Amino acid sequence: MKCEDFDKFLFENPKAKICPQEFVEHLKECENCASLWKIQETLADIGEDKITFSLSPAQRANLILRAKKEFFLKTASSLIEDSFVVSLLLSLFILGIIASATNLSKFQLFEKVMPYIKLFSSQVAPFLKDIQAVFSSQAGSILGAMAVFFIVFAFTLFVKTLNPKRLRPYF
Amino acid sequence: MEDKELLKDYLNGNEKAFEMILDKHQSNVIKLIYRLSGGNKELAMDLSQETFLRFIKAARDLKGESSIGTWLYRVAYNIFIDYVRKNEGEKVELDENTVKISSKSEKTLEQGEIKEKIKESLSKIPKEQALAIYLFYFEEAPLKKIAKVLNSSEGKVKTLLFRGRENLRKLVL
Ligand SMILES: [Zn+2]
Repeated sequence: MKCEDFDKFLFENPKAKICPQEFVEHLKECENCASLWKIQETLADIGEDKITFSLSPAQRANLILRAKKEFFLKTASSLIEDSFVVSLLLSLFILGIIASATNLSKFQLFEKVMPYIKLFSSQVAPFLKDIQAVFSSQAGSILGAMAVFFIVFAFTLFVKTLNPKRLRPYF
Repeated sequence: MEDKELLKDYLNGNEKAFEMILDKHQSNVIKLIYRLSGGNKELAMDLSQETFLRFIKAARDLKGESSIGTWLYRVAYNIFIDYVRKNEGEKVELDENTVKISSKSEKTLEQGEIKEKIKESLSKIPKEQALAIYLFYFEEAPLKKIAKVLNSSEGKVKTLLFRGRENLRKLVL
């Protein structure tokens, strides 16, 4: 019974360095418990060695650099992912407008609007004419659509990096 | 600052937060491997660096982790085990059946000598037992935390502690 009690005491008091009075006599008689006590007492003693370690300055610097790199990589990839989605949607929108403008020309609506645009700016009007010309052929449409996407993509990336604080955190 | 806040700050791009995590936990991680390896400081520092590299890679998946400290202990322990397996190959670990009883009697050993023997013997007993002993006696970790580090139950931890203590006794006294 005493042995069990003592073992329970040991488990409940891993840091004990003084043996309670009730077990002192038992330890004199029981070699088993006495040696367990010795081990535990020494373990507690070792636990009190307040040694502290630190990585070498080179190891520390290396880890900090790796953390920065990892963060940069993760942020860059999420930035590109985000910009890709945004610019895809934006260019679909722009291409939709261009497509409808080209369609509208069949009904001469484009020409009807043109004088008003010319009033507003004489330079924009020929530019719109050029766009209309590009999008009137199939190959031109594909190239034009790609150009629109890349311009929008570059623009989105640029805007997103203007204010790094507003970037999506990397998780 | 709490681990969770530090982790959140780090993931939000605060560079200082990583340094704070590193400074807060590095000593504990190095000490764990230092003790388990029987006092190999250089190995402890190398494997700790490896542990923190894993942390950098895994940081975004750690949001659900209740304590970075527990996670680091677990990873450091696993890295240490891998290292031992690779480098010590077939060397059979001692267990309660193979531990030889030391010929010296308790009376002939001085306290200082016992202390040194225990430190040395921690690298000779089964690693899980050594880890449980280390956390329970040196770090005063509760059974629950040790169970988390070992991905195990409190009952299993108790058994490990019991066997570990028994093995140390056989090796030391
Ligand atoms: Zn007894």
